[in-house]
Amino acid sequence: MDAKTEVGVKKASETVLGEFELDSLKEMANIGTGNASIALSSLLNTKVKIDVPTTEVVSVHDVKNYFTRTDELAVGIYSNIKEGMTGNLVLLFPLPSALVLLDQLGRENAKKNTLSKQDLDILKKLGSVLYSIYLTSIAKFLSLKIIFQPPNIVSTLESSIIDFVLVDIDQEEKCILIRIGFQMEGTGVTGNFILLFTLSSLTPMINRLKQEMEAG
Amino acid sequence: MDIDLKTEIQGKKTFLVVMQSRQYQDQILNLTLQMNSTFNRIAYISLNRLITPLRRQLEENKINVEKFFFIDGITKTAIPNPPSMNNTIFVPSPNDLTKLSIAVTKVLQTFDPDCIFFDSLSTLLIYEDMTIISQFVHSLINKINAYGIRAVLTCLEGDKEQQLIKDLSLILDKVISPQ
Repeated sequence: MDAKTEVGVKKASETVLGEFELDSLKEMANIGTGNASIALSSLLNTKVKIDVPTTEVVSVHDVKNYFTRTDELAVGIYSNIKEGMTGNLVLLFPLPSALVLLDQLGRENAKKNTLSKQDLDILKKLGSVLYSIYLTSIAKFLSLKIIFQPPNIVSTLESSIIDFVLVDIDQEEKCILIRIGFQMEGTGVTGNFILLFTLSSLTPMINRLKQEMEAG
Repeated sequence: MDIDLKTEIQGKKTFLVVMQSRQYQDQILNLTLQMNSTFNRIAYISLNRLITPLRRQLEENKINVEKFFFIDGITKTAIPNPPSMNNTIFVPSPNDLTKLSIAVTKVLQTFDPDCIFFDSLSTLLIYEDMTIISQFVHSLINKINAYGIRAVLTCLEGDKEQQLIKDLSLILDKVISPQ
């Protein structure tokens, strides 16, 4: 757990989230990422290693500072969860990783270092498949029906991608950012699964988590 | 790397500022603050930031957005029908170079800027080969030179950008690289 996470946990406990709730959310994100990474691993026939989740509780206005640590070019595949819970999912790849990933997926013009419209469509479809697996496992964990919007994609500076995710969210809200990094062995591909919930949208989900945890 | 724009523009009109990725956002803001205090009318070509957070950030930093005309090449990729805004033209996507070029011409003719700010050539390189981007920038610089105004273009320091920087150094007055 890094320093930022510890601050996040402390802030969370001061607001509405205790350690139990944060651990439950991390566990939920872990389950989703685990299943999505298994799917990615089978699709590309490569071992996928996932990191320990980190959490941060910050105001929407400040989330940019926590979302990214660099200003490298990146590809963000993002979607809103619109039923069952309210939140946002982002699959974030550094641009070089996205290009290698596309080559692994057998795109035309392999080794080309630009993104075509077709490449963006392939990544969007990949995002859709992974989100579906991710959210299906979370839905099962919470005994909920969860529906997400078809993902959108943007390729720009990593620090700008969060603006696209937050487009409909009130700047005054506080939110929780759960990030799980992953690496695809032998390819150099790295990425992040990022879940973002506003605190006001968390109460029903926390209640559900408590029920599920208590039930066993 | 801190750039002193007022010193740099003495006797020169067109610049490429090469930035390190870890300082990019800070340097873009720093350049915008200096342009705000140096020029009266600035055309800001944004291919990286959604228009609303960009304008908000400028306003929070006491930059007079009324002095700016924005050519926004990215908002429409996320919001197909953005609400119309003063002094803003939306281009469908960052790689729609024809519409971007038309928008620049329109702004040069109607807004009469004394400086054009382009953020950034690295975004164009995501979608198009270096040759196409180089041709586009040559055409853009010719247009800017014809109007006799100043231009500040930006890009990230990176392998993909190296050849473009080399090529553009032949037509730009100065390339400012990180120390």
